[in-house]
Amino acid sequence: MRKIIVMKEVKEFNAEEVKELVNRIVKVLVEYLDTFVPKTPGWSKHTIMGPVGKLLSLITSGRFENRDAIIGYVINVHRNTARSDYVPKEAIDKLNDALTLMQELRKKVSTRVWLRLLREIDYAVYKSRFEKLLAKTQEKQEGA
Amino acid sequence: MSSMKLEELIEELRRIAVKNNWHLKYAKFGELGHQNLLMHSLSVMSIALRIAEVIGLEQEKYEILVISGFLHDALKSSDRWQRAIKERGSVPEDFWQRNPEELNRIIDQYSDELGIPDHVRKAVKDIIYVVESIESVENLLEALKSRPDSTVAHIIELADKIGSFKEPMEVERVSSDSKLATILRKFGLVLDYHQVDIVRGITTQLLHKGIMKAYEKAGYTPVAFFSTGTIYIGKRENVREITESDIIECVNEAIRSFYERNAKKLGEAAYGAIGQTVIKVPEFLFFSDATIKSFWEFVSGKFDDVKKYIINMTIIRNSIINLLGQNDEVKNVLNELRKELYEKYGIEDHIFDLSLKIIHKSSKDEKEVLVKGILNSALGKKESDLKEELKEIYLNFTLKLLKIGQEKYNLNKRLCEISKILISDLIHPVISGGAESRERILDESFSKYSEGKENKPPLCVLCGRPAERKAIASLVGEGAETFLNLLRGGRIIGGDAKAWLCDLCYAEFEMRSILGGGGQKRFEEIIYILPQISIGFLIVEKLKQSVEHAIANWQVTNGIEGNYLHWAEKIVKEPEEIDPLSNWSELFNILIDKKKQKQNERKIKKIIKELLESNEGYREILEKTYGDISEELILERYLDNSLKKDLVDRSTPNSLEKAIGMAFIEELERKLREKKVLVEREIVVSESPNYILIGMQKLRSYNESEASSMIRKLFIGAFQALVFQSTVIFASKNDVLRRPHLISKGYVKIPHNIIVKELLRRYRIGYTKVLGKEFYGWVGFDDIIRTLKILGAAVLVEDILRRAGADYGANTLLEILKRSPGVILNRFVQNVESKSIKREALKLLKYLNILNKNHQISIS
Repeated sequence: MRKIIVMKEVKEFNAEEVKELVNRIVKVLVEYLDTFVPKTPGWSKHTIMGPVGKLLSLITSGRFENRDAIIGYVINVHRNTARSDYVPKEAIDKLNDALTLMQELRKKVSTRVWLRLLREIDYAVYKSRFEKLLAKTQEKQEGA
Repeated sequence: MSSMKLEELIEELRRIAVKNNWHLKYAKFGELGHQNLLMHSLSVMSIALRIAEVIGLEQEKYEILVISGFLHDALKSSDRWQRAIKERGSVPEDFWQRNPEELNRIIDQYSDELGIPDHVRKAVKDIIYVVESIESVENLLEALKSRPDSTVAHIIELADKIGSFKEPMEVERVSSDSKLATILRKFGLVLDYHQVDIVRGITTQLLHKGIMKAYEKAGYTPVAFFSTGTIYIGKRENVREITESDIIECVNEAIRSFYERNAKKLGEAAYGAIGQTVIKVPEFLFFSDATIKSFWEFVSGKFDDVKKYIINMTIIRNSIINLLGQNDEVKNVLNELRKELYEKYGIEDHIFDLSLKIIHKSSKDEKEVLVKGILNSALGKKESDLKEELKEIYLNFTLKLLKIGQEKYNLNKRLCEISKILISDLIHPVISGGAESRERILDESFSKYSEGKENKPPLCVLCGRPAERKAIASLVGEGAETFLNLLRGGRIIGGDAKAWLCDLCYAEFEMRSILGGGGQKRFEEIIYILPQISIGFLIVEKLKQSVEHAIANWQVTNGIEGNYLHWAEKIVKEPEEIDPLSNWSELFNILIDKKKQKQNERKIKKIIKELLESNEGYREILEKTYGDISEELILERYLDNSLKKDLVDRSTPNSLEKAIGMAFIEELERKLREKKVLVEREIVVSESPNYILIGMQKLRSYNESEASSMIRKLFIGAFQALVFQSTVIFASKNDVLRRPHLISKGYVKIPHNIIVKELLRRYRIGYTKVLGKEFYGWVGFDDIIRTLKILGAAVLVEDILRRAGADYGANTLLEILKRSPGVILNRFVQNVESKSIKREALKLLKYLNILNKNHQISIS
């Protein structure tokens, strides 16, 4: 009989540290999304995630290696899908911060875990942003 | 305070203890079982009361006895004690002596809330000092000065010892405990116990009940109930030795009375299934005229299509003939039937002879000949009339065979045999002498089997006793007649080579099928509500009534699923509002489906009206009892479960009135079942106080994966365990529980399933840290609220997803616990109608956040 192939995760990481880092990335990306108002409002993931959805799929695919190229791509998506085509500096700073944290995270984990975490980040941002928008709508309704 | 009745005092103590979270704290733990502080306190108090009754303690001392009994371990409620036991695995030996102030504080707190006068408070403190040997110099001096009542102190000491036994057989150790022996000698008391090795379900309850009766007859009083046995106490001069024949007699009586009480259901339970063993228990069918009648009533209601009706009724008739064999007497009755069918429908001899050969597997053509023969002759007749006529013919035919059937299948004889072998499950007081011969039979049949001389497997597939009867699927469930890895390799499954059962396991399934009322869909799930180690009589009574009341309400209201959702909402929103061993009616009477409830109430009222109009006797009895016979009033009494109490259980009505009252309730319930108002999805069996067994149909109507269903069951079990303050074990239909399975180590046992285990690990559900060690498998006392919150949130998320059409099918609950909240939210948004997004999403997010907060490896 052929020997069993055992796959072993070689890159060990501190789960607490990674969890903390992921939470920070989510937080920064949600803050970035505060600067983004989509052309057509809605509750779908596509609408709510705006350029962040594109950013995460770009990173997952590994199409760009250059940080500026990634930011440039995202800014372009931002301008094309937002109600206003003006991208504030604050938004670019947040994107920069997010990418720095992501780089840090990438170094800590294996490719397998990295891809799983990107998916986690994707849906965590969606949920947090959704919650925030819902609370805002609620406030508005109560105010009215 | 002095005006407070004993029951009120006990209820107040319970209330204060719950307020102080005693139900979430440990009192007893170890390899042989865990018990929370609330139940330990109630148990010891309850045992103390029983001892006091036996020794005839003066009434004026009962108040002090109850309070000191309840508070004897009060110091264990301190955070320091709980922390020490969990983290270090032990508390310093002098913990009690070092913390008298803390004990004083707790007793004072209770005393203030109860409004106890100072002298009672002082007496309670002194007694607890003595019981717990709090011997710091000043306290000892204080206690000695006031000379605590040594009788009360000794009763509590004895009750604490009994309440701390992990199984009944620890009574054997009494002789080596000099202090305990001295107390028993002082009061002139003797302790005894009975214990079984295995819990089968209903049969074991009847065994417990029978033995308890035998002990009571011998002068003993039961004081503590374990799932595996009971501890008894008695005055030395009043008790006598228990003999094996006493026990057999009482057990037989218990079993016989069970069958007699359920005689009407026997007929229904006799029926198996058309494609399998049609008459699964012939003994039930031939029990009496009434069982034959209820049998045909039951089977005739099963087939709607007239063609199927004719064929299946004939198959059933043929099964009865096959059971009895074609002897002369049977042939005579058959000839009468042949004549009747010819006269009524012109069925000729060759068709009748053909019909005798019809079985489930017969060809379509053969079946058609019979159907055409009957239908052609019945042209112009209403289908319902034809069905009724045919049923009557077969009913009369079977009634004529009653005597022959009883000769061959005698239930009473079998019941005596069951009683005799049932006591072999006992460890104490009687160890069956048959062990040696059993071993020999096993050896012989095993060698025959292994040499291939015999196809019959030697052992019962469930409990390992010598196999006596072939398992049949309609009784035991699917799988009885298919592959079984206990059979020898290479054997063809069929004939004798299939699962076999011992007589006891067989009897157990027969009893379950009686309560299930026939059909195969009964008892798909079994819930055991067991004591946390042991339980005293006070709580047993309350528990039994409450569970029965709860289940009765589920049935009438069809509100089972509504209840689960209500519980989930309650636990998520206001967990502190759930009051263990208390607000039953609020928790179980909830009717989510108000519309359906209204419909049902209208139907019940209509049936009550019909019954009252049809029978003068019913009217008289109800008028005499209530002075009013409005349907509203009777409905109200029925729904709050007091109709039976008023009409039958009260002492005032005479036996005739009681019989009429009972007949009214039975007829009402039969009609409710016919109209599908009363849906018996759960059946409570509480024949003995040792444990309660709930037999249920599948929890949900839609097909759910095994793992998802286990998670749902875990939620329901955990909730029931909390409100009933018991240990809940879900068993599969075929489980026989042995002693190790019955050791309670928390509120609810985690199901064995690799998928469920992995999921629960993410939420750290089922991990208990006690005695400095962490182990998996039980939801501990201190983790119940968190567990319920998580599972409750998952159940509520599932409900929202289902309503939005966004569920994951059979795996919904599983997926909810597995996937990130964002994924669930996205799925919901994609499926829900846009106008209700905001409203529903708010709730969904609230529940998802609970899940996320408790997810050990979650992010954000």
